[in-house]
Amino acid sequence: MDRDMTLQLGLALLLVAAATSYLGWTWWKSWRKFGSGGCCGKARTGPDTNVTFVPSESLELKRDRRPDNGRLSSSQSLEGESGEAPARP
Amino acid sequence: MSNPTVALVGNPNTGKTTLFNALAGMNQRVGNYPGVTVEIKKGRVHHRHHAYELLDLPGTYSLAARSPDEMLVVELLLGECAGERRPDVVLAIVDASNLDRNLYLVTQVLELGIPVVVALNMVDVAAGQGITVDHEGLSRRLGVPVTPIQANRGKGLEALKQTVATAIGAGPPGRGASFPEIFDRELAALDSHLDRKVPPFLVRRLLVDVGGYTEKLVHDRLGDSWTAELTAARRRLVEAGCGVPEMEVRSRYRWIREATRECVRRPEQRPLTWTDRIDRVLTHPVWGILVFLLLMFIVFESIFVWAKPLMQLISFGKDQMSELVKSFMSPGPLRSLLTDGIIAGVGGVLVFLPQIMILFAFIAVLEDCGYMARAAYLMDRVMASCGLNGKSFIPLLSSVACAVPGIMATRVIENRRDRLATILVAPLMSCSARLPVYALLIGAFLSPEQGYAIWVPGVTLFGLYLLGLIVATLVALLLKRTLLRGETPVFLMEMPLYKRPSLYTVWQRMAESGHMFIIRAGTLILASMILVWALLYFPSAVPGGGNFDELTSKLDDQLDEVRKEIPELKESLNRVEQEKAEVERDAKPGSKEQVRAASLGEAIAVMQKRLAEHEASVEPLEEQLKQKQREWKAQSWLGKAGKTIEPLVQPLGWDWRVGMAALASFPAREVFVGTMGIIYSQGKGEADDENFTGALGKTLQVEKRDDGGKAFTIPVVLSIMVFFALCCQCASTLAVIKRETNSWFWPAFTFVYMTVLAYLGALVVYQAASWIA
Repeated sequence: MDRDMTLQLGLALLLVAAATSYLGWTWWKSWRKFGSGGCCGKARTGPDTNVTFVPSESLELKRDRRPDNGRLSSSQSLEGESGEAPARP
Repeated sequence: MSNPTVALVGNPNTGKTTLFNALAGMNQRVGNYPGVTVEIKKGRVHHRHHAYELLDLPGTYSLAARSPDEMLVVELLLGECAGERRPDVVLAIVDASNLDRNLYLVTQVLELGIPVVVALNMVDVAAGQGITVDHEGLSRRLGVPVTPIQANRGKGLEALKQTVATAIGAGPPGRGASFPEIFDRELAALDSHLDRKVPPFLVRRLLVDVGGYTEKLVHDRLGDSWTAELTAARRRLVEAGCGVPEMEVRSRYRWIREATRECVRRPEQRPLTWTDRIDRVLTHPVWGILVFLLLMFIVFESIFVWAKPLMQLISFGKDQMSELVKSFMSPGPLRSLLTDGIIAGVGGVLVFLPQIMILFAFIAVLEDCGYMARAAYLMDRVMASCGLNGKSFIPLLSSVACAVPGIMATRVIENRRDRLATILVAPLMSCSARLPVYALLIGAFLSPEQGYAIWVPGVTLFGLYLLGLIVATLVALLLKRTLLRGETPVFLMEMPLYKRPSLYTVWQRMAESGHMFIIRAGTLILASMILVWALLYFPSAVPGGGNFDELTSKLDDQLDEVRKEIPELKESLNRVEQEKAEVERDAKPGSKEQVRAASLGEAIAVMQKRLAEHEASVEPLEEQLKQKQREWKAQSWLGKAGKTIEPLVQPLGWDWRVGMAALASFPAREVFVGTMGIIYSQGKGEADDENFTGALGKTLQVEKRDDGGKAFTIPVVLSIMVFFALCCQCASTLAVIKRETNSWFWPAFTFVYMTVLAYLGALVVYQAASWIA
């Protein structure tokens, strides 16, 4: 193998090693960020951000069936019970 | 000491982010539909040697939080948000054209005990509707400063900054709406039962918000000891004709009506606006859908037509760069890495930059003019049929740009099951990363250059996007009938006014998408391409000694020489033939000219023979070169791995190269195009200026399998596109699902179900298309 070929091979291998390290580092960074429960997501979005599977008869489902505070449900008219505009559109 | 903090709150789509950008000099994304902001954004405002931190919060109609983005607002205002201290001032932005409803939130904010400043935005829109607001009178009635502004034009901002600066350190505002006496009594009793361990504002919300976030918050802090007392208090209120939550709504609106009676002038009848007129067509059940489909077709057709010249330019630049490298480097691994790996791979992906920017420009126009909310309204019926509602459509539509913000946009969905169902189906929407894959294959095999009608590329692309939406709907239906069973909530969404899209916003969105794409191409895709190249290059030794690189380079040089000589020979032949014709014209029998003409005739015969030999040698040389490259690729590490998985992808019509390109594209879908670029970069056809997918598309058209059959037929192309429309080849999407669900189960579930779906979809399409063909 001549000198030019050796130089090319060396530089190519160097670039391959750099690319592999970069990919590995990116994965490790993502794993640290998302794998450990989030460094910012959980804190910034509140505990209820965590969506978990809830059995059908849980409090969550019952809560969803009730008309909300100030929110229209299917049974309420657009003007509300006593003519007020709804709190939410 | 840290700067004071000012929290910007208001109803959705009242211009909070526009005001935030104007005050803090930021460039956060704005949109003319509710739910654009789902996270806290921070900026710094400087005013007369003072500075304060400004927090842009997600929009909310009430402090009775139900969805995660609303909960974030409540937590921050209460000082419960980790990492953020309680704001010193609340800057409440209200829409002057819809004042009563906006003031509902202000009445709740007044009870927080934090100084409040009201920014009266959209006074121009209100004036257009004949509504005038006496802001000084309103300020007196509310007991807090009210400043009229036009955030989008930057009017009134200096006065607002001054008002906010003055409010910092001021005392708490007076209480707004008063509730019936019995409510106050129950409140005092509950407060005493809780032993004053909960702030007064929270005790009030606890009593009022039936099933709300406060119950969960207090439960987390104090356990269950208070629930019986709370239930009894609420029952006594119902018995007294003061049932919650209705009582709060009635009391607040009564107070708001009183407060605005003297200071707001409204026309007797609401005038018919342009928005009303346009909505008669755009939200019509039939015309609305037709307009939606037409708009989508225009978007997808334009992506192909408008991007063509720029794509040709980038492709030309890529080829020139490759030639330049070849001209000053001798054949070897580094030259191969630069030309066949980096330039062919990354350049092959970068060619699609114009298409991505055009897609984002259309998305920005549709968002900014107010059409997105109408699209969500139109889709409510479709969404309802699968157990979701129109609110899920906005995240799905956002996923057309990228699934990551799309999944984050699900925070506006209140119902947990609907939110989870939307998160799980959002990656099925075709994102911009899939666009290069579609554009490459459609451009190479279904374009007018291939004999198809001009509308075929646009319709095919639209069909692929539609496929994502249809499959997402069906999967959501399945999820809502099985794992995530629950009622479909009523869909209520505010329709924003139509407005002329801001050129700056559109440009900002285009530039942002282009920047992100280039960064991605220069980092993740570049690194992946180098790795793919290495796997395809090594080991490069020919069995029995020698080197494939040298061998193919020699053949390549030989071929280049022959190709270069052919036009030169043709030109010489032409010249000699012309000369012979001229000599013959003047020649007399037996003259010198006749002898010369005869010798020229002999030269022509020799040249013709040489030309014929050259032309005849091109094809065998090309075949020889391709054969060597096939052998090289087949014995490479990537080739060996590809051959191992080939039986798995063969039913889809793919050979090992397509299979490996699909496998390599796990970090990002664009890697598929880059990998194809590397695999097929050597022995590519001549760049065709008419074909905007350039050399790679041309190469794919003529590429053969190892068994000699055509590698890419229409069934194969359809099978690849359907696979990419349905697969989950995106590490970022899986990571954001993990973050939003706080579980590894859901990203794993998403990856598995989407991969199975994509495989089955590709299998069915390939088998059916082959059978038809």
